[in-house]
Order: sequence, then structure tokens, then C-alpha cells
Amino acid sequence: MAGFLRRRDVLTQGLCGCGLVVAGWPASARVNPMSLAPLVHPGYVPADADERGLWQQCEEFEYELASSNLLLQDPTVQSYVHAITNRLLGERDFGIRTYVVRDAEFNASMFPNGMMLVHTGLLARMRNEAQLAAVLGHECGHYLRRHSLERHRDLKRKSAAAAIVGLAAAGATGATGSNWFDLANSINTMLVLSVYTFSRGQESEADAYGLKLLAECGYMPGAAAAVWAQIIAERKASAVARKKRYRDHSASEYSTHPPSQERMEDLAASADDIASRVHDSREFEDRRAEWLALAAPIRFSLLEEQIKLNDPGASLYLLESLAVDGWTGTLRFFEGEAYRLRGGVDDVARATAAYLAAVAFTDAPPEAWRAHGYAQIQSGHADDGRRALAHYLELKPDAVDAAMVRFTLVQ
Amino acid sequence: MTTIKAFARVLTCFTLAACVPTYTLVSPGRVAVSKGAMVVEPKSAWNRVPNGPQTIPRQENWTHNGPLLESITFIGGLVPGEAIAKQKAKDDRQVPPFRADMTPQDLVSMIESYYRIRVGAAVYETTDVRPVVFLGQPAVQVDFSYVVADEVKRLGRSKLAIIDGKLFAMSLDGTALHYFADALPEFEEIVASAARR
Repeated sequence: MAGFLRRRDVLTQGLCGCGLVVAGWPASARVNPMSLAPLVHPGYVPADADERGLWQQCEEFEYELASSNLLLQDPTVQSYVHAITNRLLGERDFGIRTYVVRDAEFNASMFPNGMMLVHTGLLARMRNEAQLAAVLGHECGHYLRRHSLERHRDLKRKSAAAAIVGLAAAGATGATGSNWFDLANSINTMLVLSVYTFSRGQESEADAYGLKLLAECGYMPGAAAAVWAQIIAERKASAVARKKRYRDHSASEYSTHPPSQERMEDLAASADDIASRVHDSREFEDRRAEWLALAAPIRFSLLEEQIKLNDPGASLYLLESLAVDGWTGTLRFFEGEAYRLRGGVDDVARATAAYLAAVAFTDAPPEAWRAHGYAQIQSGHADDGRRALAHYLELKPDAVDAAMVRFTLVQ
Repeated sequence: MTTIKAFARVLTCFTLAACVPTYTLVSPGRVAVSKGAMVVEPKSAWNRVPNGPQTIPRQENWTHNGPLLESITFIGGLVPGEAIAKQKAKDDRQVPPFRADMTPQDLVSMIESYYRIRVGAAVYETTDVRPVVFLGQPAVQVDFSYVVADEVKRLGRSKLAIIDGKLFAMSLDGTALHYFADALPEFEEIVASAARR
């Protein structure tokens, strides 16, 4: 099992992820985006043994990633994401490489050597190019400020200190009982806490740097806060659907990321500052049309990854947030799928209504006709159902389940 | 005193050994599976995988070379409301519980949700769905492929029948390289030999 995630675990010390458990940190001043400058330059190479070691590990991982089963096999999407990163960095070629990987979680991560992973779960949630650029800009911020190296060194320093405290306590135990252990544990806890606090500061700095990049190349600065507003709302919807209290895991003292709400508020305030300083006639843009054109061919598979996880609160929120730009046959189909998988009281009726709405769209995917067909048969409208299933086979004669559907038709 | 201590140590060893889950041999010939819900007749010896914290009561797993390489799963007599995975009501992500009126597409998506949620498949694709006979009844056969964090491509085949309102299933799961194809003929023989008790 020395696979993808395991290798990522090995690199965790040097990896910075935008992660869902992000944002807001106690008693922290908001970082001024315009005060930040890059700590690396185009053509940057590792400066010392520490950094060279980190880069070497990353390069091995990157080499294997190129042939990974988890890499999204879609050159158009891969190029598009890379092009946004280039646009953010402008003329400066910092050598950052992006890789879109199949993973339904909302996440992206930057490695010490400039390799960035972007999850398909992130793409599924983006409503325009500016939102995607906001997350990519955040990850670029980690690289340009050399956070991975800084964090690696900090962890090394504190791990050594923790070991010394533990050793001293072990030597003293015979004379003083277990109190030394308690003391050592409490000191270690403080060290661990400060390790994570350190990282939380980096997250805020990366947020600010991302905002700076976003504004410099004309993306709407407010897109960054909008991403976090959507993610918080999605997590709350997920909790409500399972009758749980919403907990922001990033609000914990041990979290590597500042609390989400605080992060969103900081980003919104900084975006307002940036917008108010722009006195020229330049208008910020969200490039929604470009994003929707890119996303259209992959939206089905992006949503399928999420919906099949059967997290109905999150799924229905996601669909409704995307439907702000208008319902489509695909969105209505997946709404029906979310209800069908949830399987609660009245969900059969909700799913049936959603499938009916889906097939009314000219862009309804063939699968919507199949789902509509089975729903109609189950609700006692066998003839309508058979007609819908037959239409599914007309649209997709080579469907993987064609034999099963034909069998249903002759029942 | 020394004798008592030695005896205590031996007893502790036996107690600990008894607590460690162990693989047991499944000999060729007729054997009851899934708490006696079905009887099958393998032609070669298999290893019964010890139940883990994720194993549901009506489930039994066999393997030849280790579960990471290939395994056969039996689920016998699942009643409506139960799921093919152990889960809590407050889990964010849940495998849809079994219903007696599930359509073929419901069964197909139940398998997919299981693999995405419980097995951690980041990539999952249903490759074939067709009607078959299983346990002498009309059933659904689902073929699929998936990739989890170890990046190894695996293949699976599930046979699912709803009989008297209960779910009966047998699945083969194995690496796309060698092990799935190697075990498939014997899996089909075991399926053909299966009967309800």
C-alpha cells in the first residue's frame, strides 16, 4: 500500500493544503495582501540540504504521479488549470506545475518544489474561473512565501526540543514520580500547539497572497471569500441533514488552518480594501462564461463523484448553489439522484419529480431518462416508464446497462 | 509463587491468542456461508477472512492470496433497512440501506456508493450490468473497476438477488493485474453451486 496517499503522508511535513479545515485564527491581525513579496524568484533552486532533501522526495512523487491511475485523464482540463496559474503569476515563470487528480474532496495542495495538486472535488464546487483562481492563488502563495520549508524546519526544531524534554523526564522519573512525565506532556502539548499555530499563520498569509495575485491579474477579489462562504454553507447543510450540530473543525486550537468564518471575513474585508484602492477604470471579472464552457463536458462526472457519496445535505446544497446560474437537465437529474440515494420519507416522490423536471430540458443526460423510466414504473405508470427506458436506449444504445434495461422492458 | 506466575503468563498468552482474529481454512466441498443463509461448494480450499470492525453480521469473506489481491464476499438474507456496510445514523456519508423494492439501478448505485464511501474509491466505473440467474432467481450482475489510494486498479463482479424481500449477494474483487481474472472461473463455479438454506 505504498501508494498515492501514503506518499503524500510522507511529505506532509512539507505540504501546504488549502483544505476544508481552513481559515480564521485567534487574535491574529489580518495580513495586508499588498505588503507581501515573493521569497523565491523565477528559476529558483533549493538553497540548502534541508530544501534539497524535500525537493528530492517531491520529485520522486511527481514522477510517479505522471502515470498514476488517479490523475484526471483530460488534457483540456489539465491545461486550463495550468493556464489560470500562469495567468496569476503573469510574466514571472516560477515553474509551478499543476495536476488535477480524481478525488471528490474539496482540496488543493502545494508541495515544496512547486508541484500543485488540484482535486476534482474542488472543480465540482467552482462557479466561475475567479473562484478557482482564488484557490490556485492561495496555493501559489504557499510556494512563493516558501511556507513548506519554513514549516519543515520549525517542525524539526520543535520535534528535537520535545524529544529532549521527554528524555529529561524519563531520567528524573525514579526520583520524583510521575510529575515529570506530566510536566513533559504539558510542554510537548504546548510545542505541538505552537507547531499548528505556526501553520495557521501561514494559511492567513497564503490567503492574503492569493488575493494579491487575484487582484493583480483582474479577477474579482471577492471570489475568495465567496468560495469560503459556499464551503461553510455546504458543511452546515451536511450537518443539518444528518441532524448534527455544525462544527468548524478548523476552529480547534489544534487545527492547522484558521477558522473558516474568520477566514471568510478576512478575505472579504481585504477584497473590499483592494477594490477601493483601484482608481483606474479597470473592471474586475469572474470569467464565468469561460469556466462554464470548460466545466460543461466534465460536470456530469464531477457531480457523480459527489452525489454517489450520499451526503445529501452537501449534495443538495452544491446543486442549488450551482443552479443559481440556472437549472439544467444535469443538475435536476443529480437532484433526483441525491433524493433517491437518501431514501427518506417522501424522497421517492421528490426524486420522481426531479427526474421529470430533468427530462424536460433538452440537455438532459441519457441517464435522466433511465432514472425517469424506473421512477415512473415504480410509481405505477408502467407505460410511461417503458417509453422513457426505450428512449434511454435510443440515446445510449451502447450503455453499460443496456442488457439490463432491455430485460426490464420485456418484463 | 513462581509456578503461579508462570501459569498466569501461559494463561495470558492463550487469552491474547484467542483474542487475535485468525484466518480459518475453508475446505473444498459443501459449506454454509453468511451465518448459514446460503450453501456453496468450492472446488479448492479458501481462507475465511476474520471479521473486522467493518464486517456486518450477515457477511463472510474468503480469499486465496490475501484480501488486497482478491476476495469473495457473501451476504445472505439482508433485510430492508439494513445496509451492506456497518455505519452510524450520523455518518455524513452513508451507503443507501437495502429496500425490497430496489430497481437494478438502485442496486448498481448501492454498490458504487459502498466502494466510494467505505472502500475509498476515488475512481469508480460501472462497466457492465446485465440480468443473470442467481440462487435460481432473476438477479442483477454488476461489473465494475475502481482505484483507491494505493493506485492499483481493481475489478469487481457482484451478483445480487432480492428473494422474499431479502438481499442475497456474492461478489468477487481483485486486482486487474492477474488476480481478478485468475479467480473469476472459480467464483462463477461457486455462484453456480450456491443455494439458499
